[in-house]
Formats: sequence, C-alpha cells, structure tokens
Amino acid sequence: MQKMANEEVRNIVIVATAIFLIAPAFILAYIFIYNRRKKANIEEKEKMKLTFDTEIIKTHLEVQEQTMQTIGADLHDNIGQLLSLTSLTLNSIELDNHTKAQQKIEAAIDLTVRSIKEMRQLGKLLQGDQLVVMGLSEAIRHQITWVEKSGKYQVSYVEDGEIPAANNPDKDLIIFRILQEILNNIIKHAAATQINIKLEYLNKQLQLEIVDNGIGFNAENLPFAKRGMGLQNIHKRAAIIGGEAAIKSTEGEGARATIFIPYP
Amino acid sequence: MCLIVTLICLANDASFIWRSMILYLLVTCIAEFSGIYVERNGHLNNWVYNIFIVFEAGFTNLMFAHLFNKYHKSRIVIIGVILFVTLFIYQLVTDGLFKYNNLTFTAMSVIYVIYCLYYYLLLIRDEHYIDLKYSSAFWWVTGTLLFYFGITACNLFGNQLRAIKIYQHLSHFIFAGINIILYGFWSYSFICRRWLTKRSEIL
Repeated sequence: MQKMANEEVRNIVIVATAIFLIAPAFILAYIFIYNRRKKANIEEKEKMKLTFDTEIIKTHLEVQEQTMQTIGADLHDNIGQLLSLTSLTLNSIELDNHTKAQQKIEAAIDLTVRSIKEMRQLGKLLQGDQLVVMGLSEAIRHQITWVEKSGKYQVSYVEDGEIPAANNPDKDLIIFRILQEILNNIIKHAAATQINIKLEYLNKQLQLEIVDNGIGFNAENLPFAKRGMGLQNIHKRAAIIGGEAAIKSTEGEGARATIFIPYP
Repeated sequence: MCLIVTLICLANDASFIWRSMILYLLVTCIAEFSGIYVERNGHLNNWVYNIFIVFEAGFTNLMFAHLFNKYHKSRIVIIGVILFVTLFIYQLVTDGLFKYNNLTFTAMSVIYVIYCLYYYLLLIRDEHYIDLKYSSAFWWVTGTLLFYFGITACNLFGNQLRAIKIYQHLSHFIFAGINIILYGFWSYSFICRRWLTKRSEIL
C-alpha cells in the first residue's frame, strides 16, 4: 500500500516537473508564431505603402496629363482663334480710312486683351500640381471653370461644413483626380447638360457628390469593354485613401457618384 | 565550455554589459569549482553559493536592465534588486552564511521568470520586426527562462525529487539538464551576438 502511494507521488512529481519544463516551450512556440505573423503584417503594410506611393505618382502624372490636354485644347480652340482673328483684323486695316482703321484697331486691342486674359488663366493651370496645393475647393472651382467654358454644361458647386485647414495633400490629389475622372466620364458618355457638385465635411469625413442629368447607365449591364478603367479606378482610388465610392445610375435618369473619404 | 564561447564571441563586443558576461561566467566557474572542492573536503559548500548568489543576481539584473532599456523599461529591475537585497540580508541575519539561502534563491528565480515573460511581452508589443533566429537578446532570455523555470519547479518539488533515486537523485539529473540548456542557449546567444557585432562593423 505504502509502495503504491510512493509510486503515485513519484509519477505526479515527474509529470509536474515535466510540465514545468515543457511550458516554456509552448511560450516560445507562441512567440515564434506571433513573430512570423508580425513579419507578414509588416510586409503587407510595406506593400500597401508601395501601392499607395505608386498610385500617388500615377495620379500626379494623370493630373498633369489632363492639364496638358486642357491647355492644348484651349490653345487650339480659344487662344489660337483669338490670335488668328487679331491677325486678320490687323491685316485688314486700311490706313487711308481713319474711322474704319480706328474701329479695327480697337477690335484688335479687345481681342488681344481677351487673349491675354485667356493666357493668364492658362498660366495658372500650367502650374498643374499647384492647383491642389491651393486647396481642394480651389482646385475644384478651377476644374468647374474649365468645364463651364465649353458652354455645354451648367455646373453648380456647393460646399457644406468647414473643411479642416490642416489638409492632406495626398488625399486632396486623389479626390481631385476622382473628380476629374467622373467629369471626364460625364463629358464623354453622359450627354448631360447639368452637373451638380457638392463637397460636404461632416464627422471627420469628406463627402464629394457629383450628380448629372445625362443618359445614365446600368452598371451591371455595361459591356466589359465599356466598364473600362474609369469606374474601377474611382473605386480603387477611393479605397486606397481609406474611403469608398458609391455610383448609382438608372438609364435615362442621369447618374450620382458619391465619394466618402475620412479626412484629413 | 560556455566561458570559452563567451571569450571568443564577446571579448571585443561593443557593449560593456555583454562583455561583462565573460567576468560573470568566470565567477560562475570559480564558484562551481570551489563548491566541488569544499564538498570533497567533507564540508558543506552552502556558503560558496550564498556568496555566488550576489554575483548571479548582480549580473542577471544588469543584463535585464540593459535588455529592458531598449523599451525604456529598465526601472522595473529596481523592484527585483530591492527584493533580492531585502531577502538576502534577512536570511543572512536569521540563518547566517552557512545555511543555504533557499528563500532568496526561489524568490529570485520567480522574479527572473517574470522578467523573461515581461521581455517576451515587450517583444510582442514592439512594432519592429526582429529575426528571432539571430537575436542574441532573445536567446539569452530564453536560456534564462528555461533555467529559472526549471529551477523553480525543482525548488517547489525539491523534497519529493530528492526522494526519487535512479542511480543518483533525480534532482541531480534535472539540474544537470537545465544547466546544459542554460549554457547551450547562452552560447548560441553569444554566437549570434558575435555575428551581429560583425554586421554592425561592416555597416
């Protein structure tokens, strides 16, 4: 009986000692697993940062490209025409007819002043990235001015809530590019006449809403080729700065794009 | 063996704390050989280990303070030092130098286990990734944890373990085993340290 009791004690002691020695091994195993996860997490973060940086550079280039396109179109359609007309007017001056010459000179002066005004506006636009540096609202206003200049669209712009003074240039750039993409889509495909833009800041969230009265579309029925990079890019870019995009449209009833971005 | 590894790996180490491990392991060797010598002459060697415990506590606390310093938590070691000094003086006064300072040693072991676990916690919370395979600090702490965890278990079941005899007392084998684990891990830690030192020199 005593021998059995001793045997039992001995077994308990051996098991307990073994447990005390094995327990740290489990702790070590946990730390190694946790550390591996930490490594994977850090790598994932670095990858995301790289994607973000790449996207920012890409967006910069796209904004610049769009600016250059606008400048090119404006030089050709607007300033070019004004200068041609100025040249024609000056060429047609007959110095013998003082009254007519005076009128033509005045017309030429007027055309030159308009050209200078257009050139100044182009100069501002040439600053490209500066547009966003001036602030998101200012950049949006500039964009609207250029859209309105075509004379095909009536654009309204409303700002609601106080946008923080400490802005986030990267986010501003992405939001501005999203706006450009949406406006491009409207110009290319929507056949709209009215565009309403609303920028709202509420509960540390920026909400950009763009509504048009165009022909609309059914996103689900869009052929793959037409789904294009535009819509995908809008969703992708919103996600990259921690936001989301909601695009709703019904055929014949225009479209509504709303972007929600945590800000700044 | 571990002393030789320490001499090879840490003799030129940039950190004074890590270099001091050479001295500590030298003191350990002297204490162990002295303990054996005193025992073989038919005397109790408790006083040797009671003196050695001061060095052990000093060097171990110093190393932990150095490791915690990376996370700005080195002050926590002060608690352990105060506890050790209090218990050591108390046992010295009550039991004298010739009775084994068991309470101090057990309390110290528990504290070091807590330190090790706390170090792991700091390591987990650290945002920076460290390749643990080559982390000298990690392997030093791991060796320390396994040693003091085992020692604590042995101290708790001391009487029962001493009663079990397989050729020799079971506790003898366990102590030998955990000593091999400690010095094995520490040796690897010093080898890692040597690699790190080399890398930093290149960089």
